[in-house]
Amino acid sequence: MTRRPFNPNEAELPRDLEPTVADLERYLADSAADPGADFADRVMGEVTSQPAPRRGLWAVLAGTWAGDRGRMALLAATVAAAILAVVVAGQLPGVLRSVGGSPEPSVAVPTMEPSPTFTITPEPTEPATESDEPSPSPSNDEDQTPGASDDGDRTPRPSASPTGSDDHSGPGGGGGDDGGGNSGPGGGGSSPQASDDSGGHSGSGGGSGSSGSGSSGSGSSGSGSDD
Amino acid sequence: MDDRGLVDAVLDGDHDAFRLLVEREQVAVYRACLRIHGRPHDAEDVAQESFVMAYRSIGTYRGDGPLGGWLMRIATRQAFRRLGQRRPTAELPADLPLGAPGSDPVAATLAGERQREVRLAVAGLREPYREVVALRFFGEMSLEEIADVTKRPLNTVKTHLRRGLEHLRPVLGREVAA
Repeated sequence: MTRRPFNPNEAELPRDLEPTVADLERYLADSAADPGADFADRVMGEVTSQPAPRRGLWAVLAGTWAGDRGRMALLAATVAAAILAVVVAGQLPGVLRSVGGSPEPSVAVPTMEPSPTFTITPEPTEPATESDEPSPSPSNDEDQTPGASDDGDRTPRPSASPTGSDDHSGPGGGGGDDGGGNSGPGGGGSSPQASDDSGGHSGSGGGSGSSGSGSSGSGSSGSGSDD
Repeated sequence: MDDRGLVDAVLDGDHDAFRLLVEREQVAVYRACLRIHGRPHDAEDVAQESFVMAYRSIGTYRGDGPLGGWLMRIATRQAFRRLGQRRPTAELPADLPLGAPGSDPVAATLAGERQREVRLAVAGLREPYREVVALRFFGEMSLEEIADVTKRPLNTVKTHLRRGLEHLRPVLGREVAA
């Protein structure tokens, strides 16, 4: 192969760049080596193991995914697609519910409810230990029911709870029975329900509160309302 | 056989056609890789990778400029990419001079150090200056060929070359200037 020396005029370079060009030219002259004699054979040996080259768009795609960087891009695209699929799959039930119509929301509401009841339960459990001592006086239970009604101010938020309480009516009923004995502690726990059925089993809801399960308290309220 | 015919033959599965291309371009591609890498063994590896990459994507060659220039662009890109992946510790010992100095070991060592400075200076250029400088000097392509292969106007290529050389000026040409 013939060397093609650089002519500064071809690029219309200023004269102050000539030393730089000369340095590069000197480097090129020192590095004019040839590959090994079997270089072409080695290349062809590698080429024959490759799949046949493609034309058009397939060639572009094959060129894009070739090499380490292409493989990394392919891996990143696969991971991104998998994440997207998981996200879409997670949202799919909600979308189906919203599309499904009126019967579905009644089922959907109870699933939403446990979060407010869980946030409320820690409050009653703390006074529960204290209220175990004054529990012999049932009047305290009644005093606490107004406290519960204070909590009942919060009831508008979980106002949908009665529907949810129907779901928990089973265990809640048990709590209600216990609540008869341990009415004191339950004041806070039963509060959401107390507003609904304070006349019925306000004390019983308290019992369930002492057990620490707010949900059971709500269940008892549901049963109370049934009563 | 012209470039288009060569490409069509390769696409039709003719390995001998690709061998023709390899034998025709191997020296230029190897030298460009050697000038970027500085080590014959690495240069052969990169040149081989470049030919394989060209074979895979030869269907994308659209006839803009010479096939050798298209191949040279692949080779220089691959060489700089591999150079970037090389561990820094590998650059600590001064490379041996690429030519055949033969006589004075001190002069050979100094020449090797100087060659290393040239390689690092060009490799440190930003794109698109590095590509134009590498294609023109390391690949020994004409500016018209570079314009065809890179699909840039000739004046743009000239400007890129001039700016690239201006960036190299603080490193290269010091001895001559002094």
